[in-house]
Amino acid sequence: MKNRRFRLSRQLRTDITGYAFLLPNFAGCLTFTIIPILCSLVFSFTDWEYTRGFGNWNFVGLKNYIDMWTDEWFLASLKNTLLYTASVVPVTILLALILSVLIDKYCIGKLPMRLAMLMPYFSSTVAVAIVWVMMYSSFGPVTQLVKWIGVENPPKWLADYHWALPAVILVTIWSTVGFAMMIYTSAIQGLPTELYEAADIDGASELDKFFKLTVPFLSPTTFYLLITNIISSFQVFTTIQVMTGGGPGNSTSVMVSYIYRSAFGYYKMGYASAMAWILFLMIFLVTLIQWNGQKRWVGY
Amino acid sequence: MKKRMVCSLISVLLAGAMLTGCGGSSASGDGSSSAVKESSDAGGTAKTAAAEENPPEEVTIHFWSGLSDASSQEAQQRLIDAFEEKYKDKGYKVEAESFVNDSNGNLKLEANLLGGDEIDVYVSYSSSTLFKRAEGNLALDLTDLCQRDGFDIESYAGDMMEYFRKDGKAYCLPVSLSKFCMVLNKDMFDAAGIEIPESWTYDEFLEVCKKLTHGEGEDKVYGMFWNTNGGDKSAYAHYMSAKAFGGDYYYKEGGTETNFDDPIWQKTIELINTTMQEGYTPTHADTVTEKLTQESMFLTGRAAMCNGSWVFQSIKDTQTYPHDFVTAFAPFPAVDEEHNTYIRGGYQDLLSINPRSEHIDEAWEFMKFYMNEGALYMADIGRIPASNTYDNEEIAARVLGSDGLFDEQSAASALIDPSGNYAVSTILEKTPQITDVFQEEMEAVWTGNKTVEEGLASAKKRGDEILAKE
Repeated sequence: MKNRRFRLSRQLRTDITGYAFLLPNFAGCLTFTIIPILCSLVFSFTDWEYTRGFGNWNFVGLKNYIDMWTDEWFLASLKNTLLYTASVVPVTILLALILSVLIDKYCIGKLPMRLAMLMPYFSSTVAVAIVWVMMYSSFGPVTQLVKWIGVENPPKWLADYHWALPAVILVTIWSTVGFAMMIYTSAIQGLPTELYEAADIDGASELDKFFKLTVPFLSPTTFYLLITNIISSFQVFTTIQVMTGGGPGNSTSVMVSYIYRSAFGYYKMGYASAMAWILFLMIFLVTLIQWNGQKRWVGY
Repeated sequence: MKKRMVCSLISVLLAGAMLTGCGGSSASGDGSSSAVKESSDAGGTAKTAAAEENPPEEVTIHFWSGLSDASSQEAQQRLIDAFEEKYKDKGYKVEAESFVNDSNGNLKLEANLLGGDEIDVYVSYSSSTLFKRAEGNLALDLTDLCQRDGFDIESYAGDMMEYFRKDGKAYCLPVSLSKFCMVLNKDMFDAAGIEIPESWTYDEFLEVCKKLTHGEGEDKVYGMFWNTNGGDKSAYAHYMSAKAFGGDYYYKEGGTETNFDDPIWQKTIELINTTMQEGYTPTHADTVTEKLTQESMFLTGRAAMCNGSWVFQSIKDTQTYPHDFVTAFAPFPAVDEEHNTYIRGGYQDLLSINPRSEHIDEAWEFMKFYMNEGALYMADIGRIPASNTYDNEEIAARVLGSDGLFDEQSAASALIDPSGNYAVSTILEKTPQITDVFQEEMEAVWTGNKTVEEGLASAKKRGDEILAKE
């Protein structure tokens, strides 16, 4: 009995020590993440303008959530965000897969090659964006290259309504493909070699091996990349803010940049919070669908 | 934004920041406040050192202004030195802090104002931001202080002050004026035999643009450069139309409807569009994608004119921007002689007191000094004092310097003379949104995706919809 109580209290002390170690982390998370998230939920039901001071608001029910569906800026931003995600994510993942296999099999200087591919991922997004702004300018290499190929009037890229979004998408793919490739590479190196040997004995072609062995074996990696890339694409902000500021017109305006503009340009904190929650719900929903859908195609 | 995966990472980082950054003081949680803290602490040590020889209790006034470049800060420091010298016996000290006058910088300022008594005096740069701040109790009502000291703002700054009062109450002291104008390369005007205009119409302006444009390719000299610096990429359009419309250049009487169907808008946008399509100015696409500036176009002699006197400090900075031509100034052109009514501009720097300040009296002394005595030093960087307590000639001499960079005659009338019928905004209903709509539609026009009529019609429709929403 005595012995048991002693053990209990030691258990308790261990617990307390553990929680004490968690506390700084948890306190930070609570103060800077959980409480602000809950606040934004409250704001989203109000008409708060932040210069009016904290607490000086009226509750307007679901008005913010209804208004946004007739707001052309919101709709354009939503459309651009979806377009952006739908092009960045599949292209990045596909390209990363192909590149990682090619480099793994056929490249001589593997390490320098991989490092070079990874460089843009390490670099500051703002710096990358500014360099690309120069690349796209009318005296920049991109425009000159297009001219050299034989196009007489190359588009004005970032100032063109149709080309601005693709131009930004290209930059994002370029800067994130290296990271996805590294993840694939490490997964490829862990693949069981005996299966490939067996396939060789059975006379399978390289393509067969790629589609029937490599792709299925890499499905958990693909799943991971899909989820993280979709989330980060929905939240794109920096690249677009620096390169186009959402222009020309609203052709590259995305959800996060419009949320930012509503909150700090128009002072409409309540409306911006409501849009942030819609963005959150969208990401949450997409992730949930993927999570449930993984059983069908992801093999561990 | 609300990613669980990132949550833990962020909290680790923030917890780290808390452990290292929190010095037990009442930091407001904004990253910037720690920087402020540091600088004020640095001021604190200087204070104690000085206090040993100077018994009167020292009071430090924390002053936030939006001056970002070194020469402006130096001019401001001369002002502060003069103030400290004058109030030496009272032990007043001023600690200056800079914020960048853009949306982020103003947000940082407001976060600090909301956070407590970090700031005593600060500068707002437009009546709309000032009124927002007054509404949010971020600016002190100065009425009592004025009455106590018999300080009549209007007697110094003129009747324009009326428009900078909210419900009759003063929340600011205006310390400087700005007059928006065109900046001209006088040498090019002389070479083409064109006189520096004292007033001109759109037609005359277009003619001048045409005459001054010459050359091809790399050597091309443009007649005009439309400066898109800053957030509002089509601002030059309303600098022009405000000559006719006044300060409420987007609105019809009453502010419930936009005025983009007005023929004056049609003429203004057509004029600008013509300068772009005819090649008298760089195209909008080039201006935006190559991030052309007044410095890179006007001061290098690649454009004979540009809009906005903001380039002033760069003109004086001949080390960074070497050039050997004389700069002249002219008012913005007007649609015709009949509609040459207003001058765009007005009070520029608006000083306010933080209502949470613990040194309101001292802050008030500083503001009065700045307005009526200190603004002289700010003339060195081209800021014209708003108060009439100065000698115009002395101000002109300080503004223009002695290096012969400016044409004194045109500068005196178009830039320095503080008199004029200023276009002051009185309707501020949804201005940021309407500005964005206007800018988007004009961008479509400049890039040839819409005609002038279509762009304005669409701006009118969208602007009215925004005004109709509550």
